[in-house]
Amino acid sequence: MADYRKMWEELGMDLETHDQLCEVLPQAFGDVYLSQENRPESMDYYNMVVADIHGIRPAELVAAQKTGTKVFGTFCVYVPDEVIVASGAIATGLCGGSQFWVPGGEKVLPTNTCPLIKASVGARLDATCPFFRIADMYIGETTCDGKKKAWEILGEDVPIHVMDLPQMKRAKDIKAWEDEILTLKDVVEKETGNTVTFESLKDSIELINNKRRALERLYNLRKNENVPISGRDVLLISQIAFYDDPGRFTQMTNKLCDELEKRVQDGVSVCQSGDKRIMITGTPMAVPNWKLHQIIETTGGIVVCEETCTGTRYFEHLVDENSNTFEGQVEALAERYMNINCACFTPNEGRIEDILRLAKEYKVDGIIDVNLKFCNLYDTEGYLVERGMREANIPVLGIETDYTDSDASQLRTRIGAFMEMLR
Amino acid sequence: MKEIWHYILFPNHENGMRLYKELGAIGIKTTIAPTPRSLSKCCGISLLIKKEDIEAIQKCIQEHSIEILEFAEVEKDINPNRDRYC
Amino acid sequence: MNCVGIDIGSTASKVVVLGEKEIRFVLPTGWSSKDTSRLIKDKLVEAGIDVHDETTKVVATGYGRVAVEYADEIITEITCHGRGGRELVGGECGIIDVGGQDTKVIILENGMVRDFMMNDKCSAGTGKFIEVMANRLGVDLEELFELAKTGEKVSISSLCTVFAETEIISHIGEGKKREDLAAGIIDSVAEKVAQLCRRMGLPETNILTGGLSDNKYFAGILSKKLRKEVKGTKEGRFAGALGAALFANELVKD
Repeated sequence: MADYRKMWEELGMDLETHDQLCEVLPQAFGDVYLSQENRPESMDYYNMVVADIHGIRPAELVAAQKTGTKVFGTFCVYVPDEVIVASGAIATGLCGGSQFWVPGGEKVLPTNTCPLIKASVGARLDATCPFFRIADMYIGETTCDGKKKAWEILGEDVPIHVMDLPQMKRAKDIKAWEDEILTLKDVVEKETGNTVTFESLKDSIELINNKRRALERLYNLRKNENVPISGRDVLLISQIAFYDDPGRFTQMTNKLCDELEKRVQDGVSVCQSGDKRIMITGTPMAVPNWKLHQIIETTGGIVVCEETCTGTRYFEHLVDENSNTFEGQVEALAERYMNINCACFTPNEGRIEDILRLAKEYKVDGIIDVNLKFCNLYDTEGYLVERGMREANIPVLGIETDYTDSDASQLRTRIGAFMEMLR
Repeated sequence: MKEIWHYILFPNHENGMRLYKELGAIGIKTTIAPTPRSLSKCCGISLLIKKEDIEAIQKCIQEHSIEILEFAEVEKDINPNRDRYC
Repeated sequence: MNCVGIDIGSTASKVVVLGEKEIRFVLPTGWSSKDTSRLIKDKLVEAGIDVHDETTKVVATGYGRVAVEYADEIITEITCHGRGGRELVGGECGIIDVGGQDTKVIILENGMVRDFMMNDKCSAGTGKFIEVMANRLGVDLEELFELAKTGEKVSISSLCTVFAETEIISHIGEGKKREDLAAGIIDSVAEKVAQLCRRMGLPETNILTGGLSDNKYFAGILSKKLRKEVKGTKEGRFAGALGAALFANELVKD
């Protein structure tokens, strides 16, 4: 695939180091994905995307840039893609799920920063991720202290606009977020030279809502007794949702759902009787972080739901499509995004209510609350989550982990014991 | 007994996807997979195929003038409990 | 009919056989769990037990459980310690297992594991910590506990084994008494274990299992810190293997 090497070179990437990353992917992908029996055929699309994750999609972005389209890189589910898309630009998620990038981040960040932030900064500074090179501008946000300070360091290397996310959910906070969305509109308009209009925003709201509808449809299928798709596969799909062209992604995911609906009708399931239905709650899992799902699904569990940013927090709640004015649209956007329950808010009882509701909807046998090491917010909230679940008599296991493989055998013991406990 | 996996490698993903679709149309199921690192160092897609389909696949490649790099064999190396992630 | 429970821990491997022959033995794990599991097989054969025999059921547990190729079933040490603990003190209890590599607290209700917790990756509050520190003082584990009984504890503030070792070295440099350091080391481990227990809410009856199970001194410190009864028992060391053997017995019934 010499053609991509040329593109990577032109993007100023460190090819030698990048090769090391490409080398480990096929084996890990084989162990996690090709080892599964009875996978849905439509997973082939997502196989393709990830097999060439630094080739196919980056090449599309580069081609779009050559025709004058701008690309914005984002890190968080609070950043409204709708505004970016309405300016004729492309929004893309940025890498951050591999241990490979962590040492690069540790060159400039304290070691006790969460791996997601360290990996994101490392991927940019070490020039080993094409998405980070391609983006014309980054859109950051003030969700946690680690990120806030990381933006200042990243900002020395690449243009970055930071959205000021409120940390409470009073009416005035929602209003403040509306203001921030308007500021983002000004920023993307200036960068692209295009105007965000009522019409273009109407289209982009519909486009992104349709992506959410497709993901919701996929998640609803997991509520069936016979689970038609593994948690690992759904995780991969969610991870790809951040990168892919939204229209194509929606189409492919709906196609997959057609296949899964057929499976449900025919009683086809990917799990064995006795497998325990597990919901994961907590911190996001950026591509290619597949560790926890793999361990759960090889110790007698099946992941049926993720209450994470790479799960329900990404797609739940639609933006109201019936606004008649531009102001109404922006208000609807602010309301939808402020409906997400992240641990960076206080108080955040809504999240416990979400988890209790999801546990019922997905008929879970147990919950694994996962915290990415050094994420102080989710770690602290874990106490309340675990207590809330115990009060509702839902078994819960708290886990703290990072991107390294070193705790895998201990995780297998803990998760294995949890499954035995559920039997 | 060692199990052998059969792959087809391509000069680019477009040819790979074309073959995948054409084979699907005539009922031959293949799996899109990353190219094993023992075959190529770069990221990139390949098709994982069944040995018994090779003849029909070769015919399909010729009929539709699809460009491929090679047919390759790799000893199956899959271990869901290996816990080596990337 | 023989039911064999094998618990391959990070430092010691424990075996319990129930049925026609009632035996139990311990051997060091060494650096290969596979070799250890073969050694165990040989020892069992010597005792007249053929693990491949249809009338013998084997359940393996512990960190090296997957290395026991002749096991009929593999069960985690948490579940096995729970089962063993139930046999030793009944179905309503807390089990505190200070192992060589990790420390676990398991809560039993109605004889079933209701909840459990394990220390994270770090080795503070585990047998490893005691081992490293004993090495530093130039004594073995038994001597360390004997020394501790006569000492006035020196407080060791570092939670990390590596830093605590540095702290010990500087204490030695300052000429602190060995027995005082020993007392400080044991107290520090007990405090870390107690922290884990406090997060769980222990029941009234608790037992120590694992390597320190018959250490009355350690059980005493823990009882005091937790204000709950923590029993040290001789059989506690075999709790995991005993639980595994009892599960093997259930396989026979199936």
